[in-house]
Amino acid sequence: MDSMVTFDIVISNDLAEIQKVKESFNQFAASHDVLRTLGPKIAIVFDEILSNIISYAYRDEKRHEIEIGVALLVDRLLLKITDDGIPFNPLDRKPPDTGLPIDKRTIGGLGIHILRSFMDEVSYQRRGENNILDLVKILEPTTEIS
Amino acid sequence: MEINAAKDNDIWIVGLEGNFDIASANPAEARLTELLDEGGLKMVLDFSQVPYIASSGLRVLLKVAQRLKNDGGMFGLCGVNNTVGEVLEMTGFDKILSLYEDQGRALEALA
Repeated sequence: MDSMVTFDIVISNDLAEIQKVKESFNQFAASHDVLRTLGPKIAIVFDEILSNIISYAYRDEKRHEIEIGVALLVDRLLLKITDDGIPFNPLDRKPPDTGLPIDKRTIGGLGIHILRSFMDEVSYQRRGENNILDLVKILEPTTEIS
Repeated sequence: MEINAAKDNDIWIVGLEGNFDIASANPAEARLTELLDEGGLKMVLDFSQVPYIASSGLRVLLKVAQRLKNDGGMFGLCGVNNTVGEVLEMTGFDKILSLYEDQGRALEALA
């Protein structure tokens, strides 16, 4: 039987707000042993996704809300990020050529590449006025929710 | 992120403390640029107090590395933990940057 613990946080489109999400996740992770070692990787994932949305998703100067949902199941961690920015599927981005010499390297696409490498599944959907990004991290099968 | 810089002969040794992420990348870039403008063509970044790095931090590393390469300088990182090492590896940055186990080895290599 699956048990599930969740938490949600809503932030505004301000880069300084990303820290709040990381702190909330750290608190959540601290009470669930299974997440402890994942902390830095999930922090990077939040950094990449949220900075991308806040920097590029909005065509006006208004305040927007970004919803972050976290769910911990017995064998997986689910993240859901919802924003009302312009339609944008980050997974459409061409993967970076990580084999180029230093003078030819650029930074484009690296963030998405990192989060795809850290997570087991990443999917995007546009629903109404929202971009929804769902991410899954499979946890070790022997671990238990404490 | 805290940044502490000292010069050992002609080598900048820069200790970083904190996460190298979207919040710290711009101030870090400004500080490292300032140091290079002050003079010196060699720089070691000590990552032993850096829990993780995001792509915003990689952008700064690339910028410094490209500048030093163009100017005929040397650039190295030392003391990266597993998380930082993994990010450098998956992005191919471990191939374009010089990584050393600790400050001592980095200084030896850049001397």
